[in-house]
Amino acid sequence: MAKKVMVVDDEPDLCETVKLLLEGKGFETVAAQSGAEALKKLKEERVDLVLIDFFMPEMTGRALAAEIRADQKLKDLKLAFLTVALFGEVGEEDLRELGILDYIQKPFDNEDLVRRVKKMVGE
Amino acid sequence: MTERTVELASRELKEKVKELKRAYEELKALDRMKDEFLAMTAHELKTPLTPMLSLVRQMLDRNLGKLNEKQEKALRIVSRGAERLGSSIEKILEISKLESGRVELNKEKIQLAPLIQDVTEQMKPLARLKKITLTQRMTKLPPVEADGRRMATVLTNLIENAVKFSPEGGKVTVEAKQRGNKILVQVRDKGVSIAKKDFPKLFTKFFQVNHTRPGAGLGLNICKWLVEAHGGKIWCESKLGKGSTFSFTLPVKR
Repeated sequence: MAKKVMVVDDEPDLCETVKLLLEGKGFETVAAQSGAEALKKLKEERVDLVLIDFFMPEMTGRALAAEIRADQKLKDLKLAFLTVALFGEVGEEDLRELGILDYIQKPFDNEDLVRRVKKMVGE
Repeated sequence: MTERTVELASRELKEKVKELKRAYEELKALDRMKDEFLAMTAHELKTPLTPMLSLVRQMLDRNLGKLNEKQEKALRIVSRGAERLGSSIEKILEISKLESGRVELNKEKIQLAPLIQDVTEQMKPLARLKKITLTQRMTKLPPVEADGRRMATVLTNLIENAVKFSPEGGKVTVEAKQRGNKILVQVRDKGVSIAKKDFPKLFTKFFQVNHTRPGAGLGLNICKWLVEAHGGKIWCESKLGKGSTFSFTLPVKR
């Protein structure tokens, strides 16, 4: 069964770009343009990995990751940041505390992103 | 000196101290504004660039379907433009960070040989575009204490320049060897020669050897900052008609 990846980004074009890339490599994808939409969709469907933008209005990527970790049903989900934020802005401690598996910088290299997603979902 | 004069001098001094404090606060505020501006610039420029770079690549990789010859040619031009834009944004952000003195090097004991190998491999597609042979020659190297990511930036910039200034079908060689308590890394090309009078200016910001080639003139300035922050030196040698060699040293980890 194909692995399913959720992309959470307030930029619709970015969501569409990552969806096209991953679908072309055999993944199923689902997109959410806000933290709230992501939480709603995560409760409705099973995903194997969530790629989260760091800077989002209303609920930031960090806040979304914290909400997921605090939710009994979602707390074990695999999470990664996909962001323009610099490593220093995200903070290593936050990555560790929130159990973030990877931190991928935008602009990303297509092959590199696919390779890292595969690694995270265990393909 | 009368009591009155002392009092006047003391008041004047207090005023000066106040002025200095005010100027210092203003500078701090300006510095904060610069940081915010940079963060905003990074976000605003990188955000739209991300789908551009990814989608053009996806199309060229036939991830989104077939292409005819003309479409492929057009997309390659868009791809080169977007990549150049991305590279310039990265360089501008990097130099701003370096100049602000807020860059913390993540120094650790590393082996240069695999790093040189990785960067050379990564640069091969760029070299292939101009049919340039990119090779490496290394002897056994002791470890250095360096920030691997930053060293990769130095090597990438030097190789990128060598490729950029080499003619089609040229040759670029990356060499590394131990010289006493230093490691010497050299990037040689058979491209454009650089006049001796330009050597001191080469590593300054915005300097360009040849204005007909694209680039912001920041790459070598970044290399100088990073190499010197590692306790090394960087320089260039060039002979008319024989191309150029860019060398840098790094101290061996004791």
